[in-house]
Amino acid sequence: MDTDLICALRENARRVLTDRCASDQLHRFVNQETDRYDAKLWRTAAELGWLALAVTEEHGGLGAGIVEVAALQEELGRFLAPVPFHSCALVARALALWPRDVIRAEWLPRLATGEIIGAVGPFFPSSSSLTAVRSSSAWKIKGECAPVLDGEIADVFLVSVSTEAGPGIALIGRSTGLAVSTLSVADRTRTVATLRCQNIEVPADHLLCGSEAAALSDRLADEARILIASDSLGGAQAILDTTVEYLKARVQFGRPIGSFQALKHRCADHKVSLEANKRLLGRAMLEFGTAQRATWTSLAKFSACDCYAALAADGVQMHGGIGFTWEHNAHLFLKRALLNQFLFGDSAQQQDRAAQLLIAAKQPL
Amino acid sequence: MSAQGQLPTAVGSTDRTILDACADPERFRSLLRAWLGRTVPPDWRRDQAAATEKQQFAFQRWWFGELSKIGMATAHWAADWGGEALDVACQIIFFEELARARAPSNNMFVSTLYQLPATLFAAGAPEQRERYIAGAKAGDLWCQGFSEPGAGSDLAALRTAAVRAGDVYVVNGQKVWTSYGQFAKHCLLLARTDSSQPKHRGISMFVMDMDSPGIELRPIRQMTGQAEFNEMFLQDVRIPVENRIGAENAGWAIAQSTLSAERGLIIFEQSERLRHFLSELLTCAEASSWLRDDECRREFVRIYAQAVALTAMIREMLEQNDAHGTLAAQELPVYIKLHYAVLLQKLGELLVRANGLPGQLMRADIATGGVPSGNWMFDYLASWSWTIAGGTNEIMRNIVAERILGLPR
Repeated sequence: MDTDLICALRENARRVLTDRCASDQLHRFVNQETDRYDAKLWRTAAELGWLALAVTEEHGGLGAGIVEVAALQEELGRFLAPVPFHSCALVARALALWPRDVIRAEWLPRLATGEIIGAVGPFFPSSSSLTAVRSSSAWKIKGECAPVLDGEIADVFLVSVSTEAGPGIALIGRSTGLAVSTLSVADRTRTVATLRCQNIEVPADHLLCGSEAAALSDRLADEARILIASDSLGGAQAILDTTVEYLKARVQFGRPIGSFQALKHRCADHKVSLEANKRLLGRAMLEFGTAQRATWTSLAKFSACDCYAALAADGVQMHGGIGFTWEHNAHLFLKRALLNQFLFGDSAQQQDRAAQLLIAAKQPL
Repeated sequence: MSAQGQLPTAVGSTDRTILDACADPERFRSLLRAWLGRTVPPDWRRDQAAATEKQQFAFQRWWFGELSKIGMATAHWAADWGGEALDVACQIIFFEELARARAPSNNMFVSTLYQLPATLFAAGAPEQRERYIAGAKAGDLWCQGFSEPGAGSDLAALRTAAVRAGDVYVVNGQKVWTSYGQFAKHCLLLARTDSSQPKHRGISMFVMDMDSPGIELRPIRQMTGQAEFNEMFLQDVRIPVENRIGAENAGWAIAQSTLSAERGLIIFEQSERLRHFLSELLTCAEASSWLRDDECRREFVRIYAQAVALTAMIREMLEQNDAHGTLAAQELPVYIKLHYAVLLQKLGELLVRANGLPGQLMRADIATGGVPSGNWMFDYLASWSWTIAGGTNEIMRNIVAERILGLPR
């Protein structure tokens, strides 16, 4: 897909989301308790081909790369869209690399149409206690893993497990023995779950271990981080735009409060941070196929998420009293920003990982 | 090797072997790398560590001359500037390789290599271009007479007056922050030619010869201990009318061309040196103790991420400039300046703190190597030159907020 097509995708997404994810609709969604995602918007997303984007062409998808998927995620982040696109795209991209064709053929077409929802386990150190034991033709999985973004609404899961042969990656469907419990996270635009497995049996070809699994897990986690970073920069842009507009309109002491340097200088710093992070993430996506993927991804992930969190927090402050209310959007951005910061490895973990890789590389990135 | 005191080679003996390889970037890179290996004196940092400003200047002139021999001193100049019009991909390689080789920098020649040609080709008469460009190529040093004690961030408030008297202007006033004025042959001078006009409209730009009677320079010692800058007192200095650049009272717009020349390749060279410096830091012995400290290490990686973001922004800007043949991007240079200044200062502060008392030792400074030099306290102190000069951080934030975000004044 070229730049023009990405622009068209973004414009299309913005048009649809402006109409379908407006502030009042978003608030209606976060104020209700029954639906865990916006199923109507999800159906539209399927009709528009968004869900086919990350699916390979041979299985009914569009075979887009990480850059295109990330562009759409950025737009969804901008509108705080309550849909599980991130998780489904990740499962689709990971399954495309699954070495058994029968599995790809079973799941990918259904992901492309939105018939099923996928979710991925945490994929960073010591967050999964799932263990898999081989018994003749199948694996038995038990233990617990959290947090699983969109786990509550998912039909199929990719989770990290430990096996006798080292770390593995398992594909599990909903079945008896799988208990999914929701964690009441503050971010109400998404859900996070804990998975508990009580001796779930999965067929042998549904679990990878050894070097095959390690490479796929690492790649999957890095893709997740790139998408989280994209979501963050979309959200950061939106809360900055909202804040700047408010500072232009809000009058106190006889003048727009945006004329005060105490406020405008903070906006300037946020703007520079956002622009810098857009380039950092862009570069990380360009480097995604190279040996430096992990370093770039970690740098881009924590940096974009920290930028979003700082901007969203200051967005609340600069809105004053109105920013402290439930009715305003500022808190929705802040809560999504903080969850993004945590998901797939928090900032400290990403910084430690980047440091380790940079020290080992002995040359500039 | 003692390079000091040697003068650059005459223009005309350019060996174009490396330049001519630029159609094949990898060959260009390998030739350049080999040349740097042969030419950069291995002990230049140590030799320069205790050098006086005069010796540093002599060393930089020598380096300028060496670069001239292979056509690289003015490689970034357009062909109609008399330059080599090297394409941007090879300019990027050039600065990457300079940084990799830890080669000397030509920072004393910023006005000569960037501001002078940008000014002359925006507004200079053909005979002015002819007269000054050849000298600049041969290593004549230029300085800048813009700021005044009462005109810093508010440059247009300058009061130095140039009064027309027949075929000369008689100039009186005081300039400040004139870098390397003591070594300069010419000065790009802003002076007021009409005080009845609103402040931006009564300013003209001149070329002032630094050996003119009535110029007095007094060095300003900076908090780093160096004396790069001068105060410049002008008393009845006579500047010929033909030395005025552009029309009378059109100096403000011309000065914008002069100043915008700074926001491109210079900062790219800085960022490339920074990239290599950060990488070396990760493997140097002094860093190994504080890198084990979680807080310091993570803080360092946060700065590292900002540094690679900086490089990405600069490359995008250079590509845009190249595509449009001019300083096309109006926003990126502003972000880059502010981002770099802030990150350099954060890095300086971290490295002083992380290194404990040794971090505060004032080792002899190395002006010609560019910042960062690896001299923790010096680098930290020098970082204020980026947060203040060429638009303070606060002025840059005003520009972002008002011109880009559209917030009210």
